[in-house]
Amino acid sequence: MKLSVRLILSGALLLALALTFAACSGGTQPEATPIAEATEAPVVEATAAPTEAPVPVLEIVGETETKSLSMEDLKALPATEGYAGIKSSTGKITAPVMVKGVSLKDLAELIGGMGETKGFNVVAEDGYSITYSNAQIQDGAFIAYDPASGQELSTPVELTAALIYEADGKPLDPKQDGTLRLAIVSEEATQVTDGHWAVKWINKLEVKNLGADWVLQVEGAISKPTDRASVESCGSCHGTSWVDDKNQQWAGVPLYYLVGSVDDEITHDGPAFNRDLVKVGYNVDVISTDGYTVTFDAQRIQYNKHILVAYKVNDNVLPEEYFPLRLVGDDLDKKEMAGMIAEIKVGLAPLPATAESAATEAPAAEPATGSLVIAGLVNQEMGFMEADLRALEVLTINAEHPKNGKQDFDGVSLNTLLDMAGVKDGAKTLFVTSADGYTTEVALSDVRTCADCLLGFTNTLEKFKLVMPNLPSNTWAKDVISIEVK
Amino acid sequence: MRKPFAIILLLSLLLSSCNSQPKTPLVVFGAGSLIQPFDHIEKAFEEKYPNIDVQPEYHGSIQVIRHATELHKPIDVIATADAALIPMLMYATNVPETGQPYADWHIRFASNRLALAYHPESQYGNEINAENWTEVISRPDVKIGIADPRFDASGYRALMAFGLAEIADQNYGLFDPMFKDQFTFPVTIFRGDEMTTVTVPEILETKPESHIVIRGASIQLIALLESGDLDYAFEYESVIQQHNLKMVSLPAEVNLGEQDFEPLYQQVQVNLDFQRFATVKPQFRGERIGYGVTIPASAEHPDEAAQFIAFLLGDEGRTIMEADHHPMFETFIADGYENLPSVLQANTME
Repeated sequence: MKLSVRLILSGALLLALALTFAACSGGTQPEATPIAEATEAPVVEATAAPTEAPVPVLEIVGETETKSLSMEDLKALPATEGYAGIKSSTGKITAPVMVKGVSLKDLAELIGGMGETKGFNVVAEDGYSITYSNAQIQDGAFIAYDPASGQELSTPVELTAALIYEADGKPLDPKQDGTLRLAIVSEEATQVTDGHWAVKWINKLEVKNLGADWVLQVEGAISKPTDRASVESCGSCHGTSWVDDKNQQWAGVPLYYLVGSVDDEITHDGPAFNRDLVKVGYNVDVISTDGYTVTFDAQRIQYNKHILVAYKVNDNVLPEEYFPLRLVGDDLDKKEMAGMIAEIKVGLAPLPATAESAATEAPAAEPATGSLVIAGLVNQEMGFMEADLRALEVLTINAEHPKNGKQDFDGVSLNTLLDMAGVKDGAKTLFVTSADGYTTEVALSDVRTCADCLLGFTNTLEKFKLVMPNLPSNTWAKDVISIEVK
Repeated sequence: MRKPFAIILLLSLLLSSCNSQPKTPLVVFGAGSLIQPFDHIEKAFEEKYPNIDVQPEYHGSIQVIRHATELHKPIDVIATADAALIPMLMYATNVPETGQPYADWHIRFASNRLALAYHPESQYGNEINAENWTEVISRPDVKIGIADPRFDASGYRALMAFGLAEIADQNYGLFDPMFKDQFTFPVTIFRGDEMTTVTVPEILETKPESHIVIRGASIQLIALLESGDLDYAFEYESVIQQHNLKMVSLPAEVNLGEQDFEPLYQQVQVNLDFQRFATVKPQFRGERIGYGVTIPASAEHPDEAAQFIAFLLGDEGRTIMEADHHPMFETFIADGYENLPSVLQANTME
């Protein structure tokens, strides 16, 4: 009995001492942004999160719609529950605690899902934001660490990015975390992730398209807003490039192509750039967003591939100072290399609306001119200069010349040219004429089944030859000036 | 009866003695590259001022400031690896309660040099040097670590190093072999007439087969180097020496640590290609590395904070920093000198 009393007294003394020293110890070590704090902070009880009032706590801004969600709305969505903790940038671990919320993946579904080139820009009340990639939202692509050692996990753990409203069974501390915060959640308490993903005080999610879009206004006889996809698509066929003095390759389309798309009613097919209008004369203004304008005489840009409107440099979108488009090329002075192009104005009177709509049938009446003409049974006679042809897809083939053996040839698919002109029903042959008066005929069916038949380039500008693999030598005409479809 | 009385007396004495000396907590947030010297400064400072309990916490420099300006932590001293971040992110942001900026002065107190850390087993460790480093670390089979430039100054300085190497060598083909096709969204370089700009995309995500490893802070790369998961990492010379790692000293044109090359350094900048902060679009201009220190306007213990900074700038602080291989400036230049606590004005120049 005496022993028991002594033991109790000694125990009480030790406990008292321990409590005393505990009370003496200095301030607590501040944590980085621990999720666990939400469960420990005393203000939790005093100011419970607004779980009942239908006050919007989250705005989700999609590309076509915006949704406002209250806490009730969020809690009605499928819940993501699991463990989340963080590792600070210098290795301090905040152990995982049980959290509950809604996955970003489910929230993305509310506004119609999200493509690979899109992300969620997570915005906090004070304007801070960070964007989560599609891979992070859909697949939980985060680096995870062992909560005990802080070492990176070598075996992947299934992770889910979630907007949480509860930690350790309680609402978040509004002062520490806001109503909602981000957490990277796993089924077991076996991981923590980088602290910078654990954004607090979130009130908005914005779908962000990570490929910047733009529109170029091109005005002339007709008006044509042209978007990024259209210009890049044009560039894929008619693109050209220029290398600056720092070995940077600028890719774009010759200015005359864009002018040709609005100088008359022919926007793309055939020789869209109207040379007859150039003879009459007009100016082209290239205008930047700040109003800076570079003016060209139409004669200067005609078929000029050394004045181009660039949309990429070294395969990337242009830097901010020039984005989205810049004039570049060997035929430009430095001061003419305007960036941030927003508008191209072609000094031609707008076509009357009626004429514009009726125009599709009118142009056939005008005879085509050019170094090579395609005429006869076609929807539209067409004339080509070498620049026009080189702006098309140029093929290089190795073919057996009937007399000279195997050789490489560069040129444009003959069938592409025929398609551009539009071969009429009933046509059977091509009547080919050379500059020296030589003529030859070839069956249209032979050409149509010949994928490698080319209008070939030569070493002399504006002189072309037919390259006709597996067809008789008389069809390999030189210095071709016209092809009549009969 | 005697024993309970004695116990109560003892407890009373203990309680009264500890209550008479409460320590003032001094919360110091610093760049990760300051961990070792600041740990030593903490010990020395607390020995000199036993009534102050220094409570340090370390992050990438941008994160350090964020803890004050966006997470509203009660921080007494902020020390970043890039002094320019303080005006950029603190002068321009107000304390919600007072409407006053988070800071209106800072002191550039220390420099450093950017270098490459490696270990005895690193790929091509026997051939890398100050002349061929760009080529060696660009090899696809070399794992190279870089701190996330969105959070850590050493990250954007590593990107600057490549821009500077191109300018110094007049070789504009150094950046692409290292960075092209390594990220889901590209990190790009544009070489303007007067300025080379490296642009960091909104999402900085390496491709699975990438030879680049990105971590939130440069200090995290040390563990990956030590475990052999990395061959090389961009680190500060002081950190490399503190961890006894092998080091490739980068040329003066590139290491961002030489006063004489300041005009060259200013020819590169790194842009973050998005509005990361509410009021600031971060654009980091190349300059000689300068660590900055300030006391946030929201500090709870500004007097003790000034004491700490005075200690750091004094002989004892300098001795400790330099013993940890971290070079201090000979003179400390203060921005917003008139706003400095008077105890610090004596240590600094306008």
